[in-house]
Amino acid sequence: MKRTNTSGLIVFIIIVIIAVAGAVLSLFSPRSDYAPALPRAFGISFGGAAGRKTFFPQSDYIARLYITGTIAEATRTYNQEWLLDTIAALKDDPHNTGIMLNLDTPGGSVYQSDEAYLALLDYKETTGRPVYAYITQMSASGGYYISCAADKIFGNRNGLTGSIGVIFGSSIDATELLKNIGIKTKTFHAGRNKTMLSFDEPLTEEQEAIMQAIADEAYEQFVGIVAESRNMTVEDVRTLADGSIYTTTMAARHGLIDGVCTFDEAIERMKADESLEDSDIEEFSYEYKETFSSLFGNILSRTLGTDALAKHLERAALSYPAYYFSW
Amino acid sequence: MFDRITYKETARMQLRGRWAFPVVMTIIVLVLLSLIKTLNHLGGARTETATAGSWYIVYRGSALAISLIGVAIAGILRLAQTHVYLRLARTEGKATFDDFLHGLSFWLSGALGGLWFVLWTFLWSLLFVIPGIVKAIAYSQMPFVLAEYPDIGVRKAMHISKLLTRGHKGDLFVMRLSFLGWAILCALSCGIGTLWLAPYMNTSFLNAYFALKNMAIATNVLSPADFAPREDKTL
Repeated sequence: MKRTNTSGLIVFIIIVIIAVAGAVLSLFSPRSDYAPALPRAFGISFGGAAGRKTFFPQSDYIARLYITGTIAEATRTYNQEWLLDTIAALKDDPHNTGIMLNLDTPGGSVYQSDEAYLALLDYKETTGRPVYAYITQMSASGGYYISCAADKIFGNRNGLTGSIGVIFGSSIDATELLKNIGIKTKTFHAGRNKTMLSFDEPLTEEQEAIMQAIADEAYEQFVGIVAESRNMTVEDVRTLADGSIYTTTMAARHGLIDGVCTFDEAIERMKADESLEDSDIEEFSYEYKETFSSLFGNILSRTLGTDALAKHLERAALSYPAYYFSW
Repeated sequence: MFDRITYKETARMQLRGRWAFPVVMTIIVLVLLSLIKTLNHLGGARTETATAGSWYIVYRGSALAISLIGVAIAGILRLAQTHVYLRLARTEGKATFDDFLHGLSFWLSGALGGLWFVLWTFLWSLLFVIPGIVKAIAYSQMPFVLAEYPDIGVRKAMHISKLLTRGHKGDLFVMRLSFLGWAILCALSCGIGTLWLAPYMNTSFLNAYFALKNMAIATNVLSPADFAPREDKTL
């Protein structure tokens, strides 16, 4: 064999090794997206606008359902449409035997949190299957609200939870500042509270009462749900529900969660308690689909330097655990 | 004048009685590329902690690196195939696995060529889909140039490809469309027909390359000296 062909043979062998090793590794790789590894390895595709799963295993399984990032309509890590679609699809799948929520969220919007909570309750009532929740790094506020749909809640020993409370907007009254720098503004409106929370009008006592009443109503709903879910009295929950964050150990002591353990131990507990020993674990995680416009937008914002600004705004918008009204 | 019918007829003549190895080679390449495609799934896998901070960068970085490895390997295989078709076009004998291995020995040119092609096509496609397609056609002669002149360097091969296709991008696009009927038949045969269609297409486009080169030299767009190796032996 010629020398050049010897080097060609070496290249060929290396390519074959890479190809075979890649295929073997992908079969056994860890995954958090919702497509099972084996069909994926053979190129079976999974479509849908919000990444809706169109393939389900043909044997019994517990769905490990990831809730990651700020709870909102759609972010890069969380998508409400995908979550509701996935819960509905699991409800219809006879091989699904239960859901283990994998929570890593600082909370988020009241509307979306409640929608997810109600969807999980509907899943439980319709199918009679269990829902368990596992807190990884954090499941606070809106995240804890969702986990109240679970029969049992477990948490990592370094996880954070709680923050039971409601934020209903902020008021910034800049009238004095505007007066000092000589700017006069006037918004023409009918209805005395129509411009409530405008920066150029002071907040009246009546408007303060309106805002507080809305926050209180959402708070009572939250407290009621915690009391019902955790089998506690509303008064007991109120003493804990002052917006404080708790470690999972503290939360377990107060009865807000059922125990502190690893994820594997939580799964074992779920299998033992619900007689699901024969069920496998199947991962369901939202995966953001990059579109041409989002890719182009990213490049544009990076070029213009506005991505740094956007990051600061995002951080300022939710740098703390929250259950808030988005409007 | 660009005459796609002649290039295709010539390709059929060149392949007559010599289909066996091109078909086997197509199977080998398709299997390898399918397996390598699964590497992208490996890059897409992530651990539960990979969504935040530095882990996310590692995750995105590893996915990109795996994609680039796939592109480089595809480039190597493409160049090796082109070497085989070049031999079929220039000699009377049958192509063998040794010819394919000989093509693989130019792995560095193949890998760099694949990466260079994808990089520039990607950058142009950022403007829109159409510029991406136009530039992909403009760079389409790179493997042929690199196979015929192994020491020419990737950047020079791309430059020559752009000159060769100037005024003929529409012809090359129509020539690709002219295989659509065969491609539909291949789809109806569950893709088995691709094993014959791929050698037919590649040999036809190689003949088109020879014609484009002759036209470029005849019209003084290029001179034989332009195909000399790069002196600095870099990219």
